[in-house]
Amino acid sequence: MPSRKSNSRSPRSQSQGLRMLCYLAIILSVAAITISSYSLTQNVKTVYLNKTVYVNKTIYMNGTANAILPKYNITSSLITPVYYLPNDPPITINQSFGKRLTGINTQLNATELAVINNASDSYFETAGMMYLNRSLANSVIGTAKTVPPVMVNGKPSVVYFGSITCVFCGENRWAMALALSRFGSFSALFKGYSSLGDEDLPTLYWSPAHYNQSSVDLGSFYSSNYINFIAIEDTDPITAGFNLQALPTIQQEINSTGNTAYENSFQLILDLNNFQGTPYTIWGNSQIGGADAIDFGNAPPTNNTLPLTYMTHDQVLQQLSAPNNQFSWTEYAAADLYIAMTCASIGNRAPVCSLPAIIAIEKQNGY
Amino acid sequence: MTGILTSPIFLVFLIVVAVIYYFFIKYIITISSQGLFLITVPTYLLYFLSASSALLLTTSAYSIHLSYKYRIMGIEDGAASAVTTFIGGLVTSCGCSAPILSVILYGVGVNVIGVSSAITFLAVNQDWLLGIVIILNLLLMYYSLGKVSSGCKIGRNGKITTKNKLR
Repeated sequence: MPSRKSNSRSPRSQSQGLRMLCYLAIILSVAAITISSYSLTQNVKTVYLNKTVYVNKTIYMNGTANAILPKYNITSSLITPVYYLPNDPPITINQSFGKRLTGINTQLNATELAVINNASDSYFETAGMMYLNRSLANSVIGTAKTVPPVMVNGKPSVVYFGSITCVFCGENRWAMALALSRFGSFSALFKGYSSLGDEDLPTLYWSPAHYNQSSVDLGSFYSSNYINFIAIEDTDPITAGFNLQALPTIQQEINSTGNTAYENSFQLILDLNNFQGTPYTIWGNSQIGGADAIDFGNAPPTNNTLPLTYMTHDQVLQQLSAPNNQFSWTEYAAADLYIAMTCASIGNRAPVCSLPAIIAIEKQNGY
Repeated sequence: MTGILTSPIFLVFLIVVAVIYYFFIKYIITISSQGLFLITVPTYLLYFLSASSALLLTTSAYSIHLSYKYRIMGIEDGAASAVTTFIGGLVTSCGCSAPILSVILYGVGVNVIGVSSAITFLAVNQDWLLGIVIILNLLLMYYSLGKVSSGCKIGRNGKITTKNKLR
Protein backbone atom coordinates (compact mmCIF):
# COMPACT_ATOMS: atom_id res chain seq x y z
CA MET A 1 0.00 0.00 0.00
CA PRO A 2 1.38 3.36 -0.98
CA SER A 3 0.56 5.07 2.31
CA ARG A 4 2.35 2.39 4.37
CA LYS A 5 5.38 2.67 2.11
CA SER A 6 5.61 6.41 2.57
CA ASN A 7 5.41 6.09 6.39
CA SER A 8 8.13 3.51 6.77
CA ARG A 9 11.63 4.90 7.27
CA SER A 10 14.87 3.20 6.42
CA PRO A 11 17.32 2.30 9.22
CA ARG A 12 19.75 4.82 7.71
CA SER A 13 17.29 7.69 8.01
CA GLN A 14 16.42 6.51 11.54
CA SER A 15 20.10 6.68 12.38
CA GLN A 16 20.32 10.17 10.86
CA GLY A 17 17.33 11.23 12.92
CA LEU A 18 18.84 9.88 16.11
CA ARG A 19 22.09 11.60 15.35
CA MET A 20 20.34 14.93 14.83
CA LEU A 21 18.48 14.39 18.08
CA CYS A 22 21.80 13.83 19.87
CA TYR A 23 23.30 16.96 18.34
CA LEU A 24 20.23 18.87 19.46
CA ALA A 25 20.58 17.42 22.96
CA ILE A 26 24.21 18.58 23.13
CA ILE A 27 23.29 22.05 21.93
CA LEU A 28 20.44 22.24 24.42
CA SER A 29 22.49 21.00 27.36
CA VAL A 30 25.39 23.37 26.62
CA ALA A 31 22.95 26.23 26.05
CA ALA A 32 21.09 25.44 29.28
CA ILE A 33 24.27 25.53 31.31
CA THR A 34 25.49 28.67 29.60
CA ILE A 35 22.15 30.46 30.02
CA SER A 36 21.93 29.48 33.70
CA SER A 37 25.45 30.82 34.25
CA TYR A 38 24.56 33.98 32.37
CA SER A 39 21.39 34.56 34.38
CA LEU A 40 23.37 33.99 37.54
CA THR A 41 25.87 36.66 36.52
CA GLN A 42 22.99 38.98 35.59
CA ASN A 43 21.65 38.45 39.09
CA VAL A 44 25.05 39.47 40.47
CA LYS A 45 25.05 42.54 38.22
CA THR A 46 21.59 43.48 39.45
CA VAL A 47 22.72 43.18 43.04
CA TYR A 48 25.57 45.56 42.23
CA LEU A 49 23.47 48.10 40.44
CA ASN A 50 20.38 48.34 42.61
CA LYS A 51 20.11 49.64 46.09
CA THR A 52 18.62 47.02 48.35
CA VAL A 53 17.04 48.15 51.59
CA TYR A 54 16.86 45.60 54.35
CA VAL A 55 15.37 47.72 57.07
CA ASN A 56 12.04 48.58 58.56
CA LYS A 57 11.20 51.19 61.12
CA THR A 58 11.67 49.17 64.24
CA ILE A 59 13.78 46.15 63.48
CA TYR A 60 16.69 45.50 61.21
CA MET A 61 16.51 42.44 59.09
CA ASN A 62 19.12 40.31 57.48
CA GLY A 63 18.32 40.19 53.79
CA THR A 64 19.02 36.49 53.35
CA ALA A 65 17.60 34.92 56.46
CA ASN A 66 15.25 37.54 57.90
CA ALA A 67 17.01 37.14 61.21
CA ILE A 68 16.55 40.07 63.55
CA LEU A 69 19.85 41.81 64.16
CA PRO A 70 20.57 43.63 67.39
CA LYS A 71 21.14 47.38 67.49
CA TYR A 72 24.67 47.98 68.67
CA ASN A 73 25.05 50.80 71.17
CA ILE A 74 28.35 50.40 72.91
CA THR A 75 30.53 52.38 75.24
CA SER A 76 34.08 51.39 74.48
CA SER A 77 37.53 52.74 73.83
CA LEU A 78 38.98 52.27 70.35
CA ILE A 79 42.23 50.50 69.57
CA THR A 80 45.30 52.64 69.00
CA PRO A 81 47.93 50.70 67.07
CA VAL A 82 51.72 50.97 67.37
CA TYR A 83 53.86 53.10 65.06
CA TYR A 84 56.48 50.48 64.39
CA LEU A 85 56.54 46.70 64.00
CA PRO A 86 60.04 45.25 64.51
CA ASN A 87 59.33 42.14 62.42
CA ASP A 88 57.83 44.16 59.59
CA PRO A 89 60.11 47.16 59.25
CA PRO A 90 59.86 49.81 56.53
CA ILE A 91 61.65 48.83 53.33
CA THR A 92 63.83 51.62 52.05
CA ILE A 93 65.54 50.11 49.02
CA ASN A 94 64.21 51.14 45.65
CA GLN A 95 62.49 48.23 43.89
CA SER A 96 61.06 47.94 40.42
CA PHE A 97 57.33 48.26 39.67
CA GLY A 98 55.39 45.02 39.91
CA LYS A 99 57.79 43.75 42.59
CA ARG A 100 57.84 46.94 44.58
CA LEU A 101 57.51 47.29 48.33
CA THR A 102 59.57 50.45 48.58
CA GLY A 103 58.49 52.54 51.53
CA ILE A 104 56.08 49.95 52.94
CA ASN A 105 55.11 50.74 56.55
CA THR A 106 56.70 54.18 56.26
CA GLN A 107 54.67 56.90 57.94
CA LEU A 108 53.46 59.68 55.66
CA ASN A 109 55.28 62.93 56.35
CA ALA A 110 53.38 66.11 57.25
CA THR A 111 53.15 67.31 53.63
CA GLU A 112 51.90 63.94 52.40
CA LEU A 113 49.40 63.64 55.25
CA ALA A 114 48.09 67.13 54.50
CA VAL A 115 47.06 65.97 51.01
CA ILE A 116 44.57 63.65 52.67
CA ASN A 117 43.60 65.71 55.72
CA ASN A 118 43.41 69.10 54.01
CA ALA A 119 41.96 68.28 50.60
CA SER A 120 39.86 71.13 49.34
CA ASP A 121 36.08 70.77 49.50
CA SER A 122 35.97 72.07 45.93
CA TYR A 123 37.61 68.84 44.73
CA PHE A 124 34.84 66.81 46.35
CA GLU A 125 32.22 69.12 44.87
CA THR A 126 33.65 68.95 41.33
CA ALA A 127 34.08 65.17 41.46
CA GLY A 128 30.57 64.76 42.88
CA MET A 129 29.12 66.75 40.01
CA MET A 130 31.13 64.64 37.55
CA TYR A 131 29.61 61.53 39.13
CA LEU A 132 26.12 63.00 38.91
CA ASN A 133 26.43 64.13 35.32
CA ARG A 134 28.15 60.87 34.36
CA SER A 135 31.33 62.43 33.02
CA LEU A 136 33.67 60.04 34.81
CA ALA A 137 35.44 57.49 32.65
CA ASN A 138 35.84 54.96 35.48
CA SER A 139 32.89 53.32 37.18
CA VAL A 140 31.70 54.52 40.57
CA ILE A 141 29.13 52.23 42.14
CA GLY A 142 26.52 53.59 44.51
CA THR A 143 24.96 50.34 45.65
CA ALA A 144 24.44 50.06 49.39
CA LYS A 145 22.42 47.99 51.79
CA THR A 146 20.86 49.57 54.84
CA VAL A 147 22.11 47.94 58.02
CA PRO A 148 22.01 48.72 61.72
CA PRO A 149 24.76 51.23 62.56
CA VAL A 150 27.39 50.31 65.13
CA MET A 151 27.01 53.11 67.69
CA VAL A 152 30.10 53.52 69.82
CA ASN A 153 30.18 56.23 72.46
CA GLY A 154 27.07 57.78 70.92
CA LYS A 155 28.58 58.08 67.43
CA PRO A 156 27.91 55.89 64.39
CA SER A 157 30.91 53.98 63.08
CA VAL A 158 32.63 53.40 59.81
CA VAL A 159 33.60 49.73 59.88
CA TYR A 160 36.26 48.53 57.48
CA PHE A 161 37.20 44.89 56.92
CA GLY A 162 39.90 44.31 54.33
CA SER A 163 43.11 42.55 53.52
CA ILE A 164 46.49 44.09 52.80
CA THR A 165 46.96 41.51 50.04
CA CYS A 166 43.84 42.53 48.12
CA VAL A 167 43.99 44.73 45.02
CA PHE A 168 40.53 46.28 45.43
CA CYS A 169 41.24 47.12 49.10
CA GLY A 170 44.45 48.80 47.96
CA GLU A 171 42.65 51.03 45.49
CA ASN A 172 39.73 51.64 47.85
CA ARG A 173 41.79 52.93 50.81
CA TRP A 174 42.69 56.12 48.91
CA ALA A 175 39.02 57.04 48.52
CA MET A 176 38.25 55.93 52.07
CA ALA A 177 41.00 58.11 53.53
CA LEU A 178 39.74 61.12 51.57
CA ALA A 179 36.17 60.49 52.74
CA LEU A 180 37.12 59.99 56.39
CA SER A 181 39.18 63.19 56.35
CA ARG A 182 35.94 65.18 55.85
CA PHE A 183 34.66 64.09 59.27
CA GLY A 184 37.89 64.17 61.26
CA SER A 185 41.61 63.76 60.67
CA PHE A 186 44.41 61.22 60.61
CA SER A 187 47.40 61.88 62.84
CA ALA A 188 49.27 59.15 60.95
CA LEU A 189 48.90 57.07 57.80
CA PHE A 190 51.37 54.61 56.32
CA LYS A 191 52.54 53.69 52.85
CA GLY A 192 51.50 50.24 51.75
CA TYR A 193 50.95 47.95 48.76
CA SER A 194 48.58 45.24 47.68
CA SER A 195 50.36 41.88 47.45
CA LEU A 196 52.91 41.26 44.72
CA GLY A 197 50.64 38.53 43.36
CA ASP A 198 47.65 40.87 43.32
CA GLU A 199 48.89 43.79 41.22
CA ASP A 200 51.29 45.41 43.73
CA LEU A 201 49.33 48.67 43.93
CA PRO A 202 50.57 51.58 46.01
CA THR A 203 48.08 52.25 48.81
CA LEU A 204 47.70 53.58 52.32
CA TYR A 205 47.68 51.47 55.45
CA TRP A 206 45.74 52.62 58.51
CA SER A 207 48.58 51.40 60.71
CA PRO A 208 51.87 49.58 60.14
CA ALA A 209 50.99 46.19 58.67
CA HIS A 210 52.24 42.73 59.58
CA TYR A 211 53.20 42.26 55.96
CA ASN A 212 55.43 39.25 56.61
CA GLN A 213 52.90 37.10 58.42
CA SER A 214 49.28 36.10 58.86
CA SER A 215 47.78 38.36 61.47
CA VAL A 216 45.01 40.88 62.05
CA ASP A 217 45.85 44.58 62.32
CA LEU A 218 43.31 46.56 64.28
CA GLY A 219 42.86 50.28 64.70
CA SER A 220 44.01 53.50 63.14
CA PHE A 221 45.25 56.97 64.05
CA TYR A 222 41.95 58.62 63.16
CA SER A 223 39.80 60.86 65.33
CA SER A 224 36.48 62.55 64.65
CA ASN A 225 33.70 64.34 66.49
CA TYR A 226 31.08 62.73 64.28
CA ILE A 227 32.05 59.13 63.69
CA ASN A 228 34.32 56.28 64.83
CA PHE A 229 36.57 54.44 62.45
CA ILE A 230 36.89 50.74 63.18
CA ALA A 231 39.57 49.24 60.94
CA ILE A 232 40.03 45.49 60.73
CA GLU A 233 42.80 44.48 58.35
CA ASP A 234 43.74 40.88 57.65
CA THR A 235 47.41 40.44 56.86
CA ASP A 236 49.27 37.70 55.06
CA PRO A 237 52.72 37.61 53.44
CA ILE A 238 52.73 40.50 50.99
CA THR A 239 55.13 38.74 48.62
CA ALA A 240 52.51 36.07 47.78
CA GLY A 241 49.03 36.61 46.29
CA PHE A 242 45.62 37.46 47.71
CA ASN A 243 44.81 35.62 50.89
CA LEU A 244 42.32 35.91 53.70
CA GLN A 245 42.43 34.03 56.96
CA ALA A 246 39.35 32.09 57.99
CA LEU A 247 36.76 34.39 59.54
CA PRO A 248 36.64 32.41 62.83
CA THR A 249 40.42 32.89 63.14
CA ILE A 250 40.02 36.63 62.59
CA GLN A 251 37.16 36.76 65.08
CA GLN A 252 39.21 34.86 67.65
CA GLU A 253 42.02 37.37 67.29
CA ILE A 254 39.62 40.31 67.61
CA ASN A 255 37.93 38.79 70.66
CA SER A 256 41.31 38.28 72.31
CA THR A 257 41.68 42.09 72.51
CA GLY A 258 38.55 42.32 74.65
CA ASN A 259 37.53 45.48 72.78
CA THR A 260 33.74 45.44 72.51
CA ALA A 261 33.61 47.97 69.66
CA TYR A 262 35.69 45.69 67.46
CA GLU A 263 34.06 42.50 68.70
CA ASN A 264 30.56 43.79 67.95
CA SER A 265 31.54 45.28 64.61
CA PHE A 266 32.93 41.98 63.40
CA GLN A 267 29.96 40.10 64.82
CA LEU A 268 27.70 42.37 62.78
CA ILE A 269 29.63 41.48 59.62
CA LEU A 270 29.08 37.80 60.38
CA ASP A 271 25.42 38.31 61.28
CA LEU A 272 24.66 40.17 58.07
CA ASN A 273 25.67 36.97 56.28
CA ASN A 274 26.35 38.70 52.96
CA PHE A 275 30.15 38.82 52.83
CA GLN A 276 31.33 38.31 49.25
CA GLY A 277 34.95 39.27 49.68
CA THR A 278 37.10 42.22 50.61
CA PRO A 279 36.87 45.17 51.04
CA TYR A 280 33.71 45.13 53.14
CA THR A 281 32.70 48.44 54.63
CA ILE A 282 29.86 49.87 56.70
CA TRP A 283 29.37 53.64 56.61
CA GLY A 284 26.96 54.38 59.42
CA ASN A 285 23.88 52.55 58.24
CA SER A 286 25.02 51.83 54.69
CA GLN A 287 26.93 48.68 53.87
CA ILE A 288 29.02 48.25 50.75
CA GLY A 289 30.26 44.91 49.46
CA GLY A 290 33.46 45.57 47.54
CA ALA A 291 35.03 48.84 46.53
CA ASP A 292 32.69 51.65 45.45
CA ALA A 293 34.84 52.53 42.44
CA ILE A 294 37.00 50.82 39.88
CA ASP A 295 39.81 53.31 39.62
CA PHE A 296 43.15 51.99 38.45
CA GLY A 297 44.06 54.77 36.02
CA ASN A 298 42.53 57.31 33.69
CA ALA A 299 40.32 54.77 31.95
CA PRO A 300 38.87 51.37 32.75
CA PRO A 301 41.66 48.83 32.21
CA THR A 302 41.23 46.57 29.23
CA ASN A 303 43.83 44.04 30.29
CA ASN A 304 45.62 42.73 33.32
CA THR A 305 48.10 45.62 33.47
CA LEU A 306 46.88 48.32 35.81
CA PRO A 307 48.39 51.82 35.42
CA LEU A 308 48.22 52.34 39.20
CA THR A 309 50.76 49.53 39.64
CA TYR A 310 53.30 51.73 37.89
CA MET A 311 52.76 54.77 40.09
CA THR A 312 54.64 55.69 43.26
CA HIS A 313 52.91 56.95 46.40
CA ASP A 314 54.30 60.40 45.65
CA GLN A 315 52.73 60.38 42.19
CA VAL A 316 49.34 59.33 43.57
CA LEU A 317 49.50 61.97 46.30
CA GLN A 318 50.58 64.58 43.77
CA GLN A 319 47.57 63.78 41.59
CA LEU A 320 45.24 63.92 44.59
CA SER A 321 46.70 67.24 45.72
CA ALA A 322 45.82 68.85 42.38
CA PRO A 323 43.29 66.62 40.63
CA ASN A 324 43.28 67.11 36.88
CA ASN A 325 42.70 63.64 35.45
CA GLN A 326 40.14 60.87 35.53
CA PHE A 327 42.07 58.82 38.08
CA SER A 328 42.11 61.56 40.72
CA TRP A 329 38.56 62.75 40.05
CA THR A 330 37.30 59.19 40.39
CA GLU A 331 39.02 58.83 43.77
CA TYR A 332 37.26 61.99 44.95
CA ALA A 333 33.95 60.82 43.48
CA ALA A 334 34.33 57.44 45.23
CA ALA A 335 35.00 59.37 48.43
CA ASP A 336 31.87 61.46 47.79
CA LEU A 337 29.69 58.35 47.86
CA TYR A 338 31.14 57.33 51.21
CA ILE A 339 30.68 60.89 52.46
CA ALA A 340 27.04 60.91 51.37
CA MET A 341 26.39 57.62 53.17
CA THR A 342 28.06 58.90 56.32
CA CYS A 343 26.23 62.24 56.17
CA ALA A 344 22.93 60.38 56.00
CA SER A 345 23.92 58.47 59.14
CA ILE A 346 24.88 61.53 61.20
CA GLY A 347 21.94 63.73 60.27
CA ASN A 348 24.08 65.81 57.88
CA ARG A 349 25.78 67.58 60.79
CA ALA A 350 29.30 67.78 59.33
CA PRO A 351 30.15 70.84 57.15
CA VAL A 352 30.91 68.62 54.13
CA CYS A 353 27.29 67.43 54.14
CA SER A 354 26.14 70.84 52.94
CA LEU A 355 28.06 70.58 49.65
CA PRO A 356 25.47 70.60 46.83
CA ALA A 357 27.02 67.51 45.24
CA ILE A 358 26.81 65.54 48.49
CA ILE A 359 23.18 66.56 49.02
CA ALA A 360 22.39 65.53 45.44
CA ILE A 361 24.19 62.17 45.74
CA GLU A 362 22.44 61.42 49.01
CA LYS A 363 19.11 62.17 47.39
CA GLN A 364 19.83 60.37 44.13
CA ASN A 365 21.15 57.19 45.75
CA GLY A 366 18.64 57.26 48.59
CA TYR A 367 21.14 56.79 51.43
CA MET B 1 41.30 12.10 17.32
CA THR B 2 42.79 12.07 13.83
CA GLY B 3 39.24 12.01 12.50
CA ILE B 4 38.47 15.26 14.29
CA LEU B 5 41.63 17.02 13.19
CA THR B 6 41.40 15.93 9.56
CA SER B 7 37.76 16.82 9.14
CA PRO B 8 37.37 20.49 8.13
CA ILE B 9 33.91 20.68 9.69
CA PHE B 10 35.05 19.38 13.07
CA LEU B 11 38.17 21.52 12.93
CA VAL B 12 36.13 24.68 12.34
CA PHE B 13 33.69 23.56 15.04
CA LEU B 14 36.61 23.06 17.46
CA ILE B 15 38.04 26.52 16.82
CA VAL B 16 34.67 28.27 17.04
CA VAL B 17 33.79 26.53 20.31
CA ALA B 18 37.23 27.31 21.77
CA VAL B 19 36.77 31.01 20.99
CA ILE B 20 33.22 31.03 22.40
CA TYR B 21 34.35 29.25 25.56
CA TYR B 22 37.24 31.70 25.97
CA PHE B 23 34.85 34.67 25.83
CA PHE B 24 32.49 32.89 28.20
CA ILE B 25 35.30 32.50 30.76
CA LYS B 26 36.32 36.11 30.19
CA TYR B 27 32.74 37.21 30.79
CA ILE B 28 32.53 35.32 34.11
CA ILE B 29 35.83 36.84 35.26
CA THR B 30 34.74 40.33 34.24
CA ILE B 31 31.46 40.10 36.14
CA SER B 32 33.21 38.71 39.20
CA SER B 33 35.88 41.42 39.18
CA GLN B 34 33.46 44.35 39.06
CA GLY B 35 33.81 44.84 35.32
CA LEU B 36 37.54 44.19 35.05
CA PHE B 37 39.25 41.32 33.31
CA LEU B 38 41.60 40.82 36.21
CA ILE B 39 43.28 37.44 36.45
CA THR B 40 45.86 36.13 38.87
CA VAL B 41 46.55 32.87 37.01
CA PRO B 42 48.88 32.54 34.03
CA THR B 43 46.99 33.45 30.85
CA TYR B 44 48.03 30.21 29.14
CA LEU B 45 45.92 28.28 31.66
CA LEU B 46 42.84 30.10 30.37
CA TYR B 47 43.77 29.16 26.82
CA PHE B 48 44.30 25.55 27.89
CA LEU B 49 40.94 25.52 29.65
CA SER B 50 38.99 26.84 26.68
CA ALA B 51 40.91 24.56 24.28
CA SER B 52 40.40 21.44 26.38
CA SER B 53 36.70 22.18 26.90
CA ALA B 54 36.29 22.78 23.17
CA LEU B 55 38.09 19.51 22.42
CA LEU B 56 35.77 17.67 24.76
CA LEU B 57 32.69 19.16 23.12
CA THR B 58 34.06 18.38 19.65
CA THR B 59 34.83 14.81 20.72
CA SER B 60 31.28 14.42 21.97
CA ALA B 61 29.90 15.66 18.65
CA TYR B 62 32.29 13.35 16.83
CA SER B 63 31.28 10.29 18.83
CA ILE B 64 27.62 10.95 17.98
CA HIS B 65 28.59 11.41 14.36
CA LEU B 66 30.33 8.02 14.34
CA SER B 67 27.75 5.92 16.05
CA TYR B 68 24.40 6.28 17.75
CA LYS B 69 25.66 3.82 20.35
CA TYR B 70 27.68 6.60 21.95
CA ARG B 71 24.98 9.22 21.85
CA ILE B 72 24.36 9.32 25.62
CA MET B 73 28.09 9.50 26.30
CA GLY B 74 28.36 12.24 23.70
CA ILE B 75 25.59 14.30 25.28
CA GLU B 76 27.11 13.83 28.72
CA ASP B 77 30.52 14.93 27.50
CA GLY B 78 29.02 17.94 25.76
CA ALA B 79 27.27 19.04 28.93
CA ALA B 80 30.42 18.28 30.96
CA SER B 81 32.46 20.57 28.73
CA ALA B 82 30.12 23.50 29.52
CA VAL B 83 30.16 22.68 33.23
CA THR B 84 33.96 22.46 33.42
CA THR B 85 34.25 25.74 31.52
CA PHE B 86 31.91 27.43 33.99
CA ILE B 87 33.72 25.94 37.00
CA GLY B 88 37.08 26.95 35.51
CA GLY B 89 35.75 30.48 35.02
CA LEU B 90 34.56 30.62 38.63
CA VAL B 91 37.90 29.39 39.94
CA THR B 92 39.81 31.90 37.82
CA SER B 93 37.57 34.78 38.82
CA CYS B 94 38.02 34.16 42.52
CA GLY B 95 40.07 36.92 44.09
CA CYS B 96 39.42 39.61 46.70
CA SER B 97 35.75 39.18 45.95
CA ALA B 98 33.71 36.45 44.31
CA PRO B 99 30.11 37.62 43.86
CA ILE B 100 29.02 34.82 41.50
CA LEU B 101 30.39 32.07 43.70
CA SER B 102 28.93 33.78 46.76
CA VAL B 103 25.46 33.98 45.19
CA ILE B 104 25.62 30.23 44.44
CA LEU B 105 26.88 29.29 47.89
CA TYR B 106 24.47 31.54 49.81
CA GLY B 107 21.75 30.17 47.53
CA VAL B 108 22.41 26.60 48.67
CA GLY B 109 22.46 27.62 52.32
CA VAL B 110 26.17 28.05 53.02
CA ASN B 111 26.81 30.70 55.66
CA VAL B 112 29.26 33.58 55.69
CA ILE B 113 32.08 31.49 57.17
CA GLY B 114 31.69 28.81 54.52
CA VAL B 115 31.54 31.39 51.75
CA SER B 116 34.63 33.25 52.93
CA SER B 117 36.53 29.96 53.33
CA ALA B 118 35.55 28.91 49.81
CA ILE B 119 36.66 32.26 48.37
CA THR B 120 40.02 32.03 50.12
CA PHE B 121 40.53 28.37 49.20
CA LEU B 122 39.82 28.99 45.54
CA ALA B 123 41.84 32.20 45.42
CA VAL B 124 44.88 30.60 47.03
CA ASN B 125 44.75 27.35 45.04
CA GLN B 126 43.63 28.78 41.70
CA ASP B 127 46.48 27.48 39.57
CA TRP B 128 46.32 23.82 40.43
CA LEU B 129 42.51 23.76 40.66
CA LEU B 130 42.38 25.11 37.14
CA GLY B 131 44.93 22.45 36.19
CA ILE B 132 42.62 19.77 37.63
CA VAL B 133 39.68 21.07 35.57
CA ILE B 134 41.81 20.97 32.42
CA ILE B 135 43.02 17.44 33.21
CA LEU B 136 39.41 16.40 33.87
CA ASN B 137 38.46 17.65 30.42
CA LEU B 138 41.30 15.71 28.85
CA LEU B 139 40.52 12.54 30.81
CA LEU B 140 36.87 12.65 29.76
CA MET B 141 37.96 13.17 26.19
CA TYR B 142 40.46 10.33 26.38
CA TYR B 143 37.84 8.02 27.87
CA SER B 144 35.31 8.90 25.16
CA LEU B 145 37.80 8.50 22.33
CA GLY B 146 38.90 5.17 23.78
CA LYS B 147 35.33 3.94 23.88
CA VAL B 148 34.61 5.17 20.39
CA SER B 149 37.77 3.71 18.88
CA SER B 150 37.13 0.33 20.52
CA GLY B 151 33.84 0.24 18.65
CA CYS B 152 35.38 1.26 15.32
CA LYS B 153 37.39 -0.35 12.60
CA ILE B 154 39.36 1.18 9.78
CA GLY B 155 38.23 0.05 6.39
CA ARG B 156 40.39 -0.68 3.35
CA ASN B 157 39.71 2.77 2.02
CA GLY B 158 41.14 4.23 5.23
CA LYS B 159 37.74 5.46 6.43
CA ILE B 160 36.58 4.81 9.95
CA THR B 161 33.48 2.73 10.25
CA THR B 162 31.76 1.49 13.36
CA LYS B 163 30.95 -2.09 14.18
CA ASN B 164 27.62 -1.05 15.54
CA LYS B 165 26.54 1.39 12.91
CA LEU B 166 23.00 0.92 11.65
CA ARG B 167 22.85 -0.13 8.05
